[in-house]
Amino acid sequence: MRCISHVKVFLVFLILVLLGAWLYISPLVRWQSLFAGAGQFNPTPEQVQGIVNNISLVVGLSTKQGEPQWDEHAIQITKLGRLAAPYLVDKLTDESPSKVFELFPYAIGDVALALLADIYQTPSWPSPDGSIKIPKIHGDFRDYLVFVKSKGARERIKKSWKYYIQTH
Amino acid sequence: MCISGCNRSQPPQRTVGPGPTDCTTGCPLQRNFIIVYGDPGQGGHNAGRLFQLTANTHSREIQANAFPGNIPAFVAGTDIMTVTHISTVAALVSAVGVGNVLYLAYFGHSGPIGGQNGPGPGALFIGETASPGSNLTIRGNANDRPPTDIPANKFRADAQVRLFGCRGGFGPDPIARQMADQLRIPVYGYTNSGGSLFTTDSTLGHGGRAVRQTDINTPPPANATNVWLIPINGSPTFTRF
Repeated sequence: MRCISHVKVFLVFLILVLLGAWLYISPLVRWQSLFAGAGQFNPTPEQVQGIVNNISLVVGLSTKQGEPQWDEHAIQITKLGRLAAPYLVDKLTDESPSKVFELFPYAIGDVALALLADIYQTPSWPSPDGSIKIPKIHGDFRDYLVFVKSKGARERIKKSWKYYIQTH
Repeated sequence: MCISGCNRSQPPQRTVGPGPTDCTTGCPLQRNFIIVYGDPGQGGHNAGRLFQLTANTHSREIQANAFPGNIPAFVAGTDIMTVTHISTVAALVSAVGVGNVLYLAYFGHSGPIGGQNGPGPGALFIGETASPGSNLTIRGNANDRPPTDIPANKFRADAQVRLFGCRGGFGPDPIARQMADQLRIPVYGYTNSGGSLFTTDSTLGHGGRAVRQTDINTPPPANATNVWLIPINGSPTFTRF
């Protein structure tokens, strides 16, 4: 009796294994493609540009360098990594208002700068290579506000980042 | 030996009372009001001396009992006010280590930490660099210390904590709630989703009106001495956790 019971258990186990194998290789259920795609996202340039264009929907930024972004659109952009960089650089001179307010109202160009600094984790700011020194008046964000309102400031930031992402 | 049992050979017990009469000999008579301010921040988040200025402004108002809301009354001559800069959770723990704390206020960076697709647990970003013990949060990475590091027995039962920083009460698990769970006293934080601004308008700083576009476009002047930190969207109102 006990031997027959063992055979039954083995047969059930065998059937389950065969069923699982069939489901895995079956063209009806594309399990392989699901597993192969897990964790991989190879967006086209158009998709990257589309995600970066959602920068106008970002409502807040991580307030400490090195900390992950918490806004869903900022997360999506930074997840693109350096793929996003050329499109973010293009936005550095965009002075239109964003939804972000972190001590001061951010223009789209300010958000782009923050996301670039997040992606590259550069020690210098606002230029990645330290080539731009902001005149110190208050010793805080107000100096940046004075600087970016000066003629050609955003262009200078853009130029430094454009060179940086081409060489890093 | 003390009425409340807060003699030096034992950990101090939580005390309740209107004045500094909790102990008889060998124990601190005063109630402690502690205001801490964190690091300025880096890059676009550099607040310079503004956190310090807001902390000093708050200290003056607390000592004059001039800040609106359900704030414990400061008894001049007996209660002690301490304003100090902190860069780590350990420094915060040290600041409240004096015990018999009736009021703790934090000025500095705070807000949610990023999760997979949105806000994760909240944090006080006390230190501006990514260094051990620079964040107060339950997240648990190398730079974080949990709210359980803060000894609850250093606070009086009638104590309260106020977080003057961005999004202290915002998100699925805000830092205000984490601290309230640990300390078992009211912790107040801003639930606004937006960041914060500095203002020199006391009416706005006291929550007397909503933020206007002119407030947004007018950062404090260089010679400002009285400065308030408030959330950007809506009227500044604290939420109790």
